[in-house]
Amino acid sequence: MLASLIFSSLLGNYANFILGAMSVALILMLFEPVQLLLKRRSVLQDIKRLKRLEQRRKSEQQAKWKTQSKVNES
Amino acid sequence: MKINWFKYAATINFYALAGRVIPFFWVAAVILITIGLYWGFFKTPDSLDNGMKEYYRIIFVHLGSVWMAMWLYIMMVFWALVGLVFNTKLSYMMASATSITGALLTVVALATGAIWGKTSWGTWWDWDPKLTTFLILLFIYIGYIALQSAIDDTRRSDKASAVLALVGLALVPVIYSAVNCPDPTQCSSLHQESSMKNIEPNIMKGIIFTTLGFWMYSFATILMRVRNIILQRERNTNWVSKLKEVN
Amino acid sequence: MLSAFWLVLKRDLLLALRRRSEIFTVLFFFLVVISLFPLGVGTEDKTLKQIAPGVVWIAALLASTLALERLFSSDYVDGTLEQLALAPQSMSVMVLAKMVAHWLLTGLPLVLISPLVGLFYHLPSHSIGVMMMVLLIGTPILSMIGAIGAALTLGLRGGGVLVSLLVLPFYLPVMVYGSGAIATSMQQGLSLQPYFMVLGAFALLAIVFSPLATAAALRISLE
Repeated sequence: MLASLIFSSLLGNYANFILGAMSVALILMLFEPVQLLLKRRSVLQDIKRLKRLEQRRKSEQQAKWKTQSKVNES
Repeated sequence: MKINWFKYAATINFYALAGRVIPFFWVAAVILITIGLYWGFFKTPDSLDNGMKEYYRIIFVHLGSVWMAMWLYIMMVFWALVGLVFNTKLSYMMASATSITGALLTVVALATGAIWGKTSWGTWWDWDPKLTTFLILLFIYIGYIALQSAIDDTRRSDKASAVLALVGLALVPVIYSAVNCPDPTQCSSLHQESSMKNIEPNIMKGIIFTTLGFWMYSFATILMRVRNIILQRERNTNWVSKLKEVN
Repeated sequence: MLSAFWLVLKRDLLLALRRRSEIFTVLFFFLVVISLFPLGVGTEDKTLKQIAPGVVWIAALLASTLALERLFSSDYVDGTLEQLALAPQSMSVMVLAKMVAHWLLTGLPLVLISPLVGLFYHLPSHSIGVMMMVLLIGTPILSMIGAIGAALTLGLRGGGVLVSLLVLPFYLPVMVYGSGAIATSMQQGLSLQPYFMVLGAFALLAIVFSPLATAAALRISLE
């Protein structure tokens, strides 16, 4: 609102058009990095989850081996 | 000093390098666009000799996005070609990262162009050669993105979309000449001829600064996207699991 | 090399003649599109003459993209395409043969039936001749550009829609000059030679480059 008031005092009749053009450009151009950052976060989270799953699988495997070897010993 | 360029063809090195340079590109983009817009709004005349009034200031975002949209297509084809010749996976990733920023800037160019058209020609859309060619360019970008996302196998999707980009580059000039002169014996157009030579120096400064700013913006977003693509495609590798981001 | 060309051409024609219904599907699609336009736009004599060039070409483009999916898909499914890729003969030549066969089966029938369109749209007989000529030069270009798209989308889910999306923008120059020639032919005293020259140049370029690009695309898809 304030911005458009400043614009119209500066530029008269054409303010709305220039403002429209600028805002289309800026919204699209700001939207992109935000989307990229969100994407990056979700990708990193995916990787973390994969890693946790992998670790859990490994530790379960080790636990199984341990009980197995105990059974074998006894 | 001799730089081993192939060092950065490895995703692990490129990932780190891109991470270091992205902030600089962002800072440069913000500064350049701010200077360009400031100069464009406060240091330029209110109306031009040929009767154009304040609305010509849309040019500062319009031209920047137009030039970048075309230039990014060429860059995309360049990376696709490098990928086809040297078979480096990073070049394909660069090509696909470039395509989305390119498509976005094409949309910006079309939207600002439509708004400008409304003020200067009195219509939002005109089937003028330059507008039509840009619409087709957008379709080609969309085709490239669609083809890439339709193929599950990344090796095939990379190569197939690279071939598509090359075919597109060969055909865009033909398409432009076809919409420019539908009648091969004579040519005409509503869009003004490029008037770069007799442009007012202050306006020129604004244009140059915003275009450079758009350029930096494109670099920054493309590198950000490439980093995402690298992470996504190499999530199962050892080096990704050792990154400090995921620990 | 020439024998490989003839062999592939004969094989494709034979296969298609065994399943004749496919040829007619494309042909009738073309006719249906053609006859829907007047009902949607209006049936006045002037309107019909004005829209005829564009409508003919748009119908031809749509029919051509519709037929594209069949160009390689059955050979891909039964493994013939891999055999062709492994053959010692140049793949481009065999691909060119497949394109020629495809055009003979889907493009040529459109050219032959187009006088009917002229009657639907009240075109003068001179324009009907021009229309047949430009379709004769233009439809092979459509098949050849389309083949690249068909090769790239080989075996994909929803490939039919995707191939239209990829290929239709590239058809634009052919459509512009093709319909331009028909429209010009309805005015007195204008030379049509430039149109034919431009379309001829497109056709020659397509014959040279399209088989190469298609063969490359097929190799990528077959990997």
